[in-house]
Amino acid sequence: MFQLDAKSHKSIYEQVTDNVKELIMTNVLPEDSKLPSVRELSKDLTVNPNTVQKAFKELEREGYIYTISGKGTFVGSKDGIKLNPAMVAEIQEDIMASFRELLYLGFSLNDARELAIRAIDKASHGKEIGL
Amino acid sequence: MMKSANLYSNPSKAWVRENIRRFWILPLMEFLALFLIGILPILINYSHYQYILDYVNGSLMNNNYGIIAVFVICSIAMSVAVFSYIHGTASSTVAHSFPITRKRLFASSFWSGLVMLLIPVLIITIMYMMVSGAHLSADYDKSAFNPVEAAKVITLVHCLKWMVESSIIIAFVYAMSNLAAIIAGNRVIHVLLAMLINGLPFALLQLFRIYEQEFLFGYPHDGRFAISMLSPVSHAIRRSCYMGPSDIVPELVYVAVVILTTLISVWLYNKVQLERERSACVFPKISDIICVIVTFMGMTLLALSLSYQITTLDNGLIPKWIFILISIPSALVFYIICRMIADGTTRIFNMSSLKKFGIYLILAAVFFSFTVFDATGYQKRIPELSQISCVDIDSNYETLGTIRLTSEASIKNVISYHKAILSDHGGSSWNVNGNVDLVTLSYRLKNGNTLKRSYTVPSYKKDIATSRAYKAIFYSREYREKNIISYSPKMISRISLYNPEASGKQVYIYPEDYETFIAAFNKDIINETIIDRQTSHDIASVEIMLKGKYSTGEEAITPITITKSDKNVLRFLKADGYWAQYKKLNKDQ
Amino acid sequence: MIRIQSVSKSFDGYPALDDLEMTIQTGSIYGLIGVNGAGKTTIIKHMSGMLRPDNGIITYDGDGIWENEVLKQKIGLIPDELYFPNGYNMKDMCRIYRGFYESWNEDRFEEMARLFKLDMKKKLRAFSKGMKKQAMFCLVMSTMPMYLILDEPIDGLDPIVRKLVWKFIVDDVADHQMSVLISSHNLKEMEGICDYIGIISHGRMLLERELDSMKSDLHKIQVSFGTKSPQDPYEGLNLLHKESRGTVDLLIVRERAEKIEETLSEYDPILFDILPLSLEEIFIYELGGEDDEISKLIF
Repeated sequence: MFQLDAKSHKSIYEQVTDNVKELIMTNVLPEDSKLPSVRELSKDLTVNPNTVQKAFKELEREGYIYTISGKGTFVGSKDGIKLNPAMVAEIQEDIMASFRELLYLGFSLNDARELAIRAIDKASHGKEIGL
Repeated sequence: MMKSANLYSNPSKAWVRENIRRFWILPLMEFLALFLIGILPILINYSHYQYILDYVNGSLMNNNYGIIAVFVICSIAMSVAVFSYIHGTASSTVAHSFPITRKRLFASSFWSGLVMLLIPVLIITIMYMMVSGAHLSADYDKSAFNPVEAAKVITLVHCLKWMVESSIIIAFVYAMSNLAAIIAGNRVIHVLLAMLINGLPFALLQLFRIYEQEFLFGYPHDGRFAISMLSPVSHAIRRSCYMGPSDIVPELVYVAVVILTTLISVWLYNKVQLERERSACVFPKISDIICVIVTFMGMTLLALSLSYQITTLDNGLIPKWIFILISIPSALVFYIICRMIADGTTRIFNMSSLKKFGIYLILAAVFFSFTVFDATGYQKRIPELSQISCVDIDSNYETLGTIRLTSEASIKNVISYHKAILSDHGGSSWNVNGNVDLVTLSYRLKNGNTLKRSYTVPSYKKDIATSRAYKAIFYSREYREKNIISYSPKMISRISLYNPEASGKQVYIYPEDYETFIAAFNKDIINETIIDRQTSHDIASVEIMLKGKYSTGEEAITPITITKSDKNVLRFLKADGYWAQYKKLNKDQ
Repeated sequence: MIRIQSVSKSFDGYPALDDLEMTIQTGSIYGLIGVNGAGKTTIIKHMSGMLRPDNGIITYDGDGIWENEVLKQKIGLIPDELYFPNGYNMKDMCRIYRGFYESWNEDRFEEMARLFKLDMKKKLRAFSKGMKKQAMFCLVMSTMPMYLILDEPIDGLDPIVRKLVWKFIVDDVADHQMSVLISSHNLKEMEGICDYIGIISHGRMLLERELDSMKSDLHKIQVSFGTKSPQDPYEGLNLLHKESRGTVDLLIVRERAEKIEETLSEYDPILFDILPLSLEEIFIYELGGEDDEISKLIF
């Protein structure tokens, strides 16, 4: 379903949640479709099932997926996704930090802003989001 | 994934099966060896059985060193094989992680080894029965062999006795070797320790006997039989007849010892700290005990042989102080070697080893004080007249072996004799390098105890106090009256006259003449002097065989000799024609 | 749950295990790490029921291990030193395990032997070291253990085989909550598969935590305030180590990332990087921290 990046500085748990979120947000996994079981996914990725279990729990908590006992785990509706304000704040900080770095590199304020907007456009077209 | 139910799993059976698969070659070799030594000679000599009759008889009685060696070697080897898993780190880790308790692991190993050892014995027993049809050739020497006797060698009873005795021997050596397996930490020490444990009671007692004989003048010479009882191996070799009723108790005791030793081995196995494997011994305290024993054995042998090289006293004994002096460095040498083997290193020169050596010296000193220095006054002890109920005397001059003296006069004589021996011994007239007599005195005391002494005394010589004291005994009335042959003719199975230097040619006395013969013989005894007995040459030997056998299964035979001075007997034999017959049969000698 | 409580063991006066405490949760994969001689193989030998501790107790879901043949049915051990009887091949070993373990799964064994490409007829002593480990793995896993103990399992295995091994382990953990203990030096690999970590040193447990919380608790910080460095910006933080190179400070802080960020961003640093430590770094730090000499080398 997706690959893990061994060199990534993100933990496996984060990678699993992020990857699943991406698949859901890009509709590769449509609403109400069945996700692989914890067992299948952990075997597939060769990852500790407890880690996968934790990731699923978090995804369920955030509203991305839901579980029907006895039947499995399914993709939830996008409306159900809870916004986590702390996460939003953190992402805001990340954006600010990245922008500041452009300034450190010697970009003028305007050049930096332009570069930033171009980057945002690119991301919005959903192409090659390197996570 | 589908789980297949494994209904056939049984850890004990699995272990037994693997042992048999891995070590089947041992029972095969045991079988081949027994076949070559025991059965093949019979097959080769099937139609001229007389050549190996004695050999087969001896083999079935377990007097055959080859067969005994096979038993001992195979038993030790099997023990090493089935318990080798304990000694390797890797094999031990795997074996002890299997779902099986140590007790069951031991039991499975034990039984698989024992069964493998005993099956060849069973097969060979059957084969013996199969070749029992071996017969004498037509031209066999009729004076030497009797076909009736020959047929009685390989019988069902004898084969079964052989099987039972062999099985007990094997089980005994195997059980002792298993004890060694648990105590030892590696295979080499296992083998050495197995040999030590199996030979230990015998070796130790031999050593104690050496001490007593060397340093305690008068220590009785019997006890060899008692020592041989300590192990079924020596018991079988020493007994030169088939098992009889008197062997039932010893054999049962051996079985009990096997069971006890095995239980001790299991108990110890549960206590073993497996991390100690690979060192010589896994129980440090047992290691120390073994060091003491081996040092004692080595010290004795070395000090004894060195002392002999240096000097001996006139009475054949070794001077005490020389022995003690040489013992100390001998002990040190052996202790150092033992400690190095036990600790697995040459770095043994430390406080703890020194302390242990000190303990050894103390133990040795205590032992020496009782033996070498005779702290209890063993050598000089003679009971008081009032304590003695009777005394048995056994010297070269008794017709039937031992005479029991009960009168006060006789007992006084014996005490004087005993005192004379003690005072003469070591003096200038005491010469035991020439002709000697062996005399044993057994005082049966009123309190039920027995005091027994054996002495090698110089042969009767008029001028020695010892001899004079003996003379008093010899000519005393009680002694003379009791020295005769007291068998009644009813008790006798046969009396034969023969020349000991010629084989097999015997003259049998007729039963109606038994009484006359004995009366004549007794008359000669009463008239005999010591000098007569000492100096007359034997001109014929007589065997009186009694009906019935000893409890050991041996036949009851009394040997007596006829000398030139036995005038009455000779007159009788000549008158009745026996003498002529005897001369005729011995013409060529 | 496997519990090791206050276990001590001395070998001839040398304390190999010293009041060791260890807990392996059911269905978790526990990584035991420590330098050579720290006691890893020793505690494993205790857990398999081969050695007996001087003090303390070892229980599996409440059952003591010593001489417990029923419990041992559920335990699979792959030791560091492997043993196969002379002349035995895979078929022979299969026979032994089938005879010993009630839960022996013949189908699984055949499948695993096929996947690992093991020759059933070749003598095991002739296998390479890696193949021997694979063979042992197939045998032990086919007994369907509830508790799996592996002593240095990945040594000498190539990456394809390693992946296969992990797949089987992960599958059993997910399927029937098998509890796994792995002792290894390969920290990168352990990082990817273990959810609990125990660091053992001189026979004692130095640190035993869920891996994620271990990593979220300890961070390496690179921070610089430029020429105008404030007075004591690190107050309130659990600072374990600090090193300065010019204006850049290298810190090891035992604190949650948010708190560090919160504290330091007040001083407006020009350079600020929070880096989670890798398992290897945590290991080196925790053990090197014990020893002044080593910590001088590292930092």
